[in-house]
Amino acid sequence: MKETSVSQLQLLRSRRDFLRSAALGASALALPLALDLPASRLWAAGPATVRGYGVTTSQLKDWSVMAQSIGVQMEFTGTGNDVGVFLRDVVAAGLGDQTDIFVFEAGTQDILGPRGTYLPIDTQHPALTLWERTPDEWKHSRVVQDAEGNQWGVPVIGNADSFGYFPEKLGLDPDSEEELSWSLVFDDPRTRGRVSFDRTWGYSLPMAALYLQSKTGKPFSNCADLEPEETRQVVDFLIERKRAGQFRTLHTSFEEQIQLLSNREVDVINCWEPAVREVNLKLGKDATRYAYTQEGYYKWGHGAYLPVQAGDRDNLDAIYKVLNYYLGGEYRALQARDRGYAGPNMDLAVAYARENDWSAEDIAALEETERKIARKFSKPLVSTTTPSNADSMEEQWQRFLNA
Amino acid sequence: MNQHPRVHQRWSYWKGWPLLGKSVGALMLLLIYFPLFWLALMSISERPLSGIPFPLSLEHYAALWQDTRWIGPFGASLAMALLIGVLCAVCATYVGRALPLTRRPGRLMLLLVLPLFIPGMSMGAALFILTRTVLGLKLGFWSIAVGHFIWAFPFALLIIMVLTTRFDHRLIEAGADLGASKWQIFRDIELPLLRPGIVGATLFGFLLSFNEMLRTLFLRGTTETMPVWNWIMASSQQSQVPIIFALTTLVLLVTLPLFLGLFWILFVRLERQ
Amino acid sequence: MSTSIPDTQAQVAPSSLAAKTPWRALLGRVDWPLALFLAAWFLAVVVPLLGVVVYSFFETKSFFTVYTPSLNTWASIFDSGRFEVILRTLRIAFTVTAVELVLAFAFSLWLAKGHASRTVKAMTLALMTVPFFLDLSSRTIIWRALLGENGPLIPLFIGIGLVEPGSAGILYSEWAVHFGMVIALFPTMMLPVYIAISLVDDALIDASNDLGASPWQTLTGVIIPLSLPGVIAGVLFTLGSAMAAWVEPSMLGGGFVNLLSNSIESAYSALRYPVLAALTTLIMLILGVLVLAFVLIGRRFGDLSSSFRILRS
Repeated sequence: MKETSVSQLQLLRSRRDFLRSAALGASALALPLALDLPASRLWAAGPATVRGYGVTTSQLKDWSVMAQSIGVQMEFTGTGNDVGVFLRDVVAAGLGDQTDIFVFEAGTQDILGPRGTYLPIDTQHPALTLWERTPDEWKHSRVVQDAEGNQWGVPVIGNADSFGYFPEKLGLDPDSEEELSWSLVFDDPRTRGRVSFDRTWGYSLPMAALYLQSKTGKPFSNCADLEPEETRQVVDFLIERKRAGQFRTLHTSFEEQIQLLSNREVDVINCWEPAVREVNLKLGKDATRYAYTQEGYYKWGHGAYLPVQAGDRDNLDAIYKVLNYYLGGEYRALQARDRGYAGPNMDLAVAYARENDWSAEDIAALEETERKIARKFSKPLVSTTTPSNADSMEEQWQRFLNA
Repeated sequence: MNQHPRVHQRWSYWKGWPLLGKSVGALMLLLIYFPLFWLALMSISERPLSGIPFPLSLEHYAALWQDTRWIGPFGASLAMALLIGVLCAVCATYVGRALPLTRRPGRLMLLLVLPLFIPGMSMGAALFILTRTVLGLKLGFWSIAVGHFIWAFPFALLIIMVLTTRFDHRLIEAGADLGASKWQIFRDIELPLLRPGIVGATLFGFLLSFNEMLRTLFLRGTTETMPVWNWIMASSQQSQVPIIFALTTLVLLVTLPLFLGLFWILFVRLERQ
Repeated sequence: MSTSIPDTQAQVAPSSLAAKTPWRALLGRVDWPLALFLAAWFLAVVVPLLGVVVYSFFETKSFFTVYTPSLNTWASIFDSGRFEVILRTLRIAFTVTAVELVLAFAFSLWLAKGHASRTVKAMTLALMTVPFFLDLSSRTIIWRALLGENGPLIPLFIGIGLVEPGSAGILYSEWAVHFGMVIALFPTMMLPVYIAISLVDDALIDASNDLGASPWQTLTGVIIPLSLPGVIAGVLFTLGSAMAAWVEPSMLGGGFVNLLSNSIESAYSALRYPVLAALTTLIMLILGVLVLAFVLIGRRFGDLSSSFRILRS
């Protein structure tokens, strides 16, 4: 069976320089000896390397840009958005032994911080030059602090999620910025059978609760961390909608979001904003839109957290340089351009774009992202990935799936 | 038995039966291979997820070549599959020969094929709970290997048992009577007869490990195998599915001729000699 | 299942001998490699599964397991309708296996005992092997694009009357899940069944024909009994894989076909190991009862283990 890899390498060899292929071949041979290491470590050289692990969303499309700017190389291992898997990897698999930075959605610091798994952030670290100028609403938010106000992380990116839709199908102007109701997802007869709903309970239950409380006028204690009885109410509502045929399908992955939209299988979908971007690249500008809503949004933020083991490492300065980079203009500008996500210090992003001669259109888009975020964040927001009622929420979600 | 078969079972002489069997196979092969070739076509499409091949583009292959991250997981899966294939062949051959000689082969057999009935995620979770939560071991390549072996071994064993249970044991006694050593008997009498089973056991071990995902998810520690990498890429926010299509197409392009050739040599050419 | 724990020494050495021979001679008769293998197997397979039964009596609070024995996890499994997941999984797995058996047997019979040339046989086996190398998710994603309501196959389906024009098509249904699983698991059933049928001696078939048996009698009287080990192997392979199906229900079922693996993964997302444990225990119980019934019925109709007995002089 060895021929498989050999011929594959030969096939590739014709495409590019011999040296690179030889390195690949050598590393493939060395693999059985070094299987516990991420493969990219095998050819990474130099001391200023930082190993990251976390949600792929936070990745730059090309990390070499950062290496050029601050002289630190990033080896990033991407993972899904699943908090259970992340906690298991960090706690059970001892990921901190070989990782310098974790990037994940807010909430894990409440559990892993007090348990001594994370290293507190040294806000006075000399490499963290942008800390002072970072606004409190980002640096002291619950994304990076625990309930007692301990600083466990540095803010990376964030957004307020709603749903994507086809304006023409709903009879709306393509460039309309009208605030739409979440009833388009849950209730509207116009969209019956034309909705895809995310199958992740931590994402979809809070959105449903947000809509239901404005519909009934009875607010929940916390839409993102529902009490068992409240979860039951929300799920009863969802089951009723499911039986009424509101949902065409439940999706599970980003690639599925794109497929459903670009094949026009659904008219409305509670997806991530980059899916809408990706689809519009193919279907044309404003073919799909990401909604401004009346009721509110699912707000999330990613923080960068350090494993406690990183405290003794000789690359700690490099690690802090990367943390500082997350607060800087280059990272901010690239993330906003590529995904439409915001974060702290958007003004630095605009400044960076001007210095680097970005087109007027791209600069306008950055300013637009800033404006969009401000507008969305003024609405009610629900957020958390680690609800204390996770057990009953997961359990009730199963009831919805089985109904 | 029926006294008048030719009168009562005339339908079973129908000339269409072989054609029906053949058509079933042809249809299944079509259903298996149509999506594979469609996938190959999609891998050179600009919008692979749309189900529409045009416009064509080689950009995903360029992206695959730029992106070296899949090589590590690919190598890990290959090494793991080779290890499991060989382990399965050796263990299944030994156990498959020894088992029929025990007093209660049925019960032992049930114990050995037990993992077949345990859904993959359950078995992965059970092993994870024991090794990680109870014993506190660090998971990695070794724990994936244990999970894969437990999964693949029953297949290998059953394939070998299909041969050993039909094995005429008098051949071995004849060999012993003629003064052959145990090793000689194994090499000259049993091995040639068991060869198809051993090849099958290796192959099944290799294949089941190469694409195993459900157990690996729990047992991998921080090791990445190819299916896990594919899965992470598919659920990530930068959609990597086009790259996976390109990669799958390359694997298809390599394995298809390789296996057609291999099987032709094994079953056609060698048999003729 | 715990009843199948073997006493390896007693089994390897016949007890009549044990009574007469000294202890040392008895030790010499034990097949040590086999005994060691069985012991390791016991540790790696049975012990974790027993651990799972214990674990099902704990529960999870906010991502951490509480090690106080209780029945809360079991209660929640019935309250949320999670036990239905197991029944649904078994129903779909048995249906798929039955369909698979009919299809694979028909094709294998033709391939092994029809007039297929050696080359055709070898090429078919190769074609059945190659899909094992290819990522199941990418193969299944393709069906989603093809079966979708704007997919290229839909006009064909409308043409043959399978789908009504303007309807949502066949994707995102239990039908689609069955479809995907039958395709994916066909080689798993076909390979062992084919091996078993091809090993049936042609001379026996000819003899049966010469003695005036109809093809049906030759099939039920000669081919099926002689290929039974392979058929059983195929059924076990397919049933086991079908019960673990994960990719097809999540990609083709549109979230409405919640099967065991999907439910386990969901519990895992909140680190609810006790729920995983309880689901695993439940399916082991149900399968244990089924196997027991199988064995009891088998005993009535003849000694099943005789198919595993070798010829002794």
